[in-house]
Amino acid sequence: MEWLEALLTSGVRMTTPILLAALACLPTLWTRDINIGLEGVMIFGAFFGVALGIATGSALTAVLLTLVLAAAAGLCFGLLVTKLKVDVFVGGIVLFVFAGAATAYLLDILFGVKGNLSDPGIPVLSSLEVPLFEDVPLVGGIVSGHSGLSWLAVILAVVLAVADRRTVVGVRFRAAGSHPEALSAAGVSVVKTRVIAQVWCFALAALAGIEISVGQLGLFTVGMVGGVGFVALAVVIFARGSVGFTVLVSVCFGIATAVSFQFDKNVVPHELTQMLPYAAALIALVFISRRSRRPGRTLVGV
Amino acid sequence: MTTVPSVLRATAITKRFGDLLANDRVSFEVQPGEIHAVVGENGAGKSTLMNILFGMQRPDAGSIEIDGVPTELHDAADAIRAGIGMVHQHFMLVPEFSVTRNVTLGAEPRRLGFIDAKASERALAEPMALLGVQFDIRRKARELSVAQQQQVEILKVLYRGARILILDEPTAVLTPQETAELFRTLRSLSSSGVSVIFITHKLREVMEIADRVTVLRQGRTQGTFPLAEVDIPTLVSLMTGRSDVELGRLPRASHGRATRLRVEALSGRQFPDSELRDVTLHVREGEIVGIAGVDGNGQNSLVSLLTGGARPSVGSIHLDDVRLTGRSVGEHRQRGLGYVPEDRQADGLPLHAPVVEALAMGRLLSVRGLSLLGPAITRPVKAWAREMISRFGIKVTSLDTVPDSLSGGNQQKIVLARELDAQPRLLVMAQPTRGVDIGASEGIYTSILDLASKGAAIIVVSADLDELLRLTDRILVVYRGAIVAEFAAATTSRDELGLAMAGVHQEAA
Amino acid sequence: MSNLVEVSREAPAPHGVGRALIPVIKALVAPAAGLFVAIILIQSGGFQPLPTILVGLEYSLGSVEAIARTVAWGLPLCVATLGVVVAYRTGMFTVGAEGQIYVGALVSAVTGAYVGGLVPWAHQALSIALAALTAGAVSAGLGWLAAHWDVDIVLSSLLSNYVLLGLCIFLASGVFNDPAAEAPGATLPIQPSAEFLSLIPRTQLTVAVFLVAVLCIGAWWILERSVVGYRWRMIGESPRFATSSGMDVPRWQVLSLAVSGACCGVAGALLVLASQGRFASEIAIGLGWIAVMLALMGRAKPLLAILWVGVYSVMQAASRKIEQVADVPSDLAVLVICTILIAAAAAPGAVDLVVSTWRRRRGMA
Repeated sequence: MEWLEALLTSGVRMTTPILLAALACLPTLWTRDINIGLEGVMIFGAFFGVALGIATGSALTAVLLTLVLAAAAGLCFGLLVTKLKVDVFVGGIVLFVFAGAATAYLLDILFGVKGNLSDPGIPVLSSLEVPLFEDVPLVGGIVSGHSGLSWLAVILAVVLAVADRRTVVGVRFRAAGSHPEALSAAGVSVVKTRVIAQVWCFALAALAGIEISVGQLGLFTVGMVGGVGFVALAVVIFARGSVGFTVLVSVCFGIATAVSFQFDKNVVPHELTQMLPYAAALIALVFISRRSRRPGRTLVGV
Repeated sequence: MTTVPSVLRATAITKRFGDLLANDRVSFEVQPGEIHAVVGENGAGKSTLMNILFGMQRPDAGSIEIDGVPTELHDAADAIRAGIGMVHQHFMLVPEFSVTRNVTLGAEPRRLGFIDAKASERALAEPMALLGVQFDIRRKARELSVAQQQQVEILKVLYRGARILILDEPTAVLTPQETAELFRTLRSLSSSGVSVIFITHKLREVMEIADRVTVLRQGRTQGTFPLAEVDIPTLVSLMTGRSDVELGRLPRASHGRATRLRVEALSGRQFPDSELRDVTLHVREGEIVGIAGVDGNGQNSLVSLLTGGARPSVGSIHLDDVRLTGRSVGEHRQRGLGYVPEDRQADGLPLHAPVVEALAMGRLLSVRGLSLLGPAITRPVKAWAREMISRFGIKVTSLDTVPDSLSGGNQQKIVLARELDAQPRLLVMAQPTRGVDIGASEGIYTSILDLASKGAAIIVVSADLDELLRLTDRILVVYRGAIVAEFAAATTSRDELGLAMAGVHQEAA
Repeated sequence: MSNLVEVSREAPAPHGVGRALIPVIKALVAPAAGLFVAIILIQSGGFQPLPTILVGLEYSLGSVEAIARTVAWGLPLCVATLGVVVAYRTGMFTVGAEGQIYVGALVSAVTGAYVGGLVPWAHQALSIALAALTAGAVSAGLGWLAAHWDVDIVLSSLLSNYVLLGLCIFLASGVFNDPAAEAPGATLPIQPSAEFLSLIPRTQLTVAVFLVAVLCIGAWWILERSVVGYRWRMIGESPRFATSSGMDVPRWQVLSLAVSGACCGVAGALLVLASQGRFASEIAIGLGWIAVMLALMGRAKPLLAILWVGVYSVMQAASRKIEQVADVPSDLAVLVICTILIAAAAAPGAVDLVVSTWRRRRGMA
């Protein structure tokens, strides 16, 4: 039983960054601007969360400041991709590579270390205990003891689900991706719509990165995001842009990742278990495409 | 001179795209409640002018007045606010949205950012009454027929309170009966004070519906005339600058007796078109057969099955007694097929590659083995390309010119040159002169007739009934995936074809 | 899809001098932006930018040995970039170069270390051939899935990187591990017969340079002049046109991906056989991604891509030297190339925006 509880707790922790990144990605899927540099934004989020935390001494301040920076970056990226007509694929690749190099660079310049920044003084997001539930077996592990970002992820999922079909903004996202000329002919700025989607994407992806560094581990390591951003891309593709399925698939991946940690090192070596989520994503991707047999959403171009 | 103030006046509109002067000091004006036709050949500048009036393009020079007030239109939102609404030739509907959502897009009744669904539905009642139409507004746009989609486009415009309606080639996709229905709606709108600007190259329709006509040629206005002052020949000569344009049936050599193409009990489907069911047709050598029908009734499936894009589920196709199995386009081409696709820019040409490469595809596909590593565009290939260019009158400055910069007519000539050079025994063409001006169209017809006189079997799928009447020997009408009628082109009429296209079967005489 | 590798559609240029100047401005913006970033970063480290850059350039280009060193470093990158270019020509925007390089490296390291009794050229040829075959098969597999089952190539190649990396490191830490090696996950050193003959001592320049030169010429000929290249080019330009013309598009796309993977495999083999002497977990981190970026910079044209490989190799060597003298981390090279790529991608749009705004102001006055 304890084993199950540990698994569920771990599952929530693993799901949170995936879910946040996937929710980040959804509006850009709707506007057909999906950006494979999501991983890069997460890396920046993870880094700045730690760096600003050290600078300001408060995890919460670090989170808020990083959010502002991320939103600004999203605005720039959005303008690059719309007004300056940079291809989203190219932009995404550059974002990813740039993030890795820039964070390594800053790590060296600002903190004089290479590869790893850990310091007991790094402020960590406090975990939220839910008083009524924390001692309940199983449920307690799921509900209590996680950082505020896990709750935020749930709230944002609900927000996005409601916004999707019932608000003006949601309709505009969908129209901008499905038939931008129609939206433009209706007098709505397609550029503005696409840029808003990018701002949202960058903000939430940064939060996903912060969750990994500041929310859980309290340090920054080069490569700590390790492909979670790419897994999130796979998630939204499987979910075909539906908010409900995105949550479901994210949870599946979160639990799968948690399960892979449970394997005894001597039975299955950790290099293999680490690659499990990606292999699973790849296999699932093949099956989903095989069954649908219609032109899929490509991550490239129109 | 009119004493009624114009509801819209455009003065000296000029617009340039690179080297192309699309609009050259164009001026025209529209009265309230008027149906004003704007005619011109493809490339005359009509669409550019309309896009400027709707704010989707900005003119390089010139001014626009609405109700006598100078107005700057920076984008579509400005135009909508000024009371201008546009129904584009290619519909601007989001396929997966309902009718309601499409109509209200951009101006949804809202409460705190949420869309008020009930208010949206109520808001559609008035425009629907004004237009005199009624259908289920919850249906998704992609489920509607083309004529219904056009009605939704008009509803959209009326919902926004438009007093000036611009319709860009609205009848291109309608049957004669649907066209009559559209005209009834337009007259009803015009009598309630809405002005209608109607862009078309179909002069018959102009004579039927317009109050006044403005003619554009090569970016300049040739004049605005009340309907009583013009007739079709006059308009043609104003549009083309020539007075010798032939509009009757094209002279034909008689064709042979042997059957070239044999289609038996063919069934199959090319999504999203309708499924073709149990179709049998024969084409003799030298015969030109036309296929007419409302878009979506199986023509695309037929083309796909003939060209090897889809495999038949039942039945067979034989060309000169050799079976065309439908496994691949390559196989059909090897067995004698030539194909001029409907969408020449997507399927017929590499838009951004040099002309010589666009021409050479057929030749270079037959290269095998180690020669694959040999050079592609050799001197013989270039010489051949130059010969094609001169023989077909393709207007390019060099072999490296890119098709993207050429007119529709020139692009189609490249496609034809390539296809005809391979001496096909069966030529399948879809919409061969869509977007092509009259001069180039004549050249294309000449090439088709020439091929026919050499004994090839030719199938022409076209939405332009006049074209089919002029060019073909027989016309087959498809309706819901079956061939429901066959007419001799020399003796049938548009109305007869239109009725068959709508599924009304003729009694055998 | 081919929008990535074509010249952008241009807005009307102003007449006269402006018209001639516009393409020049568009071409220069990117390198200028890169230089600007380099200057800023070095300056912020407290050092004089231009002298520092010159020191770096001298290290990378200042003598025969320097050039040999720079070229030797750039050989695997060159081959990998050409591989990516081949794939991009047919519109197959794979980002799996990283994983395929690793596969090639491991296969050649194992072949080099464990297969014995071969004449040197045969041993090298075998190692390279096996590396190319394995990596090519992986890439072709992804291509087959993309062409026949509509599996998005970007996402599948992305995920394949992690799978392949994990697999390679697992094998190198387990079955093929060399316990005596310092680095984690390292295999046995290759036998002398598998090593490429060194050309200039102390520069790591080996006879591999001839192999790569042949590959470059071959790539140029095939992609730009041959019938194969023509077919690939037409597919990339307009897959629908290629299909309507009767080409078996999926087959040719899979072929291009097979060749692409083979090239990446060869790149990995060169890393082992002509440079490191064994496979280690850190052998090629990031090289595949740089290859992708350089292929994009070269707009999928082989000669242009090779040019950028040269530029990047120089930048890479220079930044290593700059790190020594000016305490600026060697990630500088990556940061500069990122800037250049983004600037190159944004320049046409930016210039068009400026030009059309200026024209509108003039026109509506």
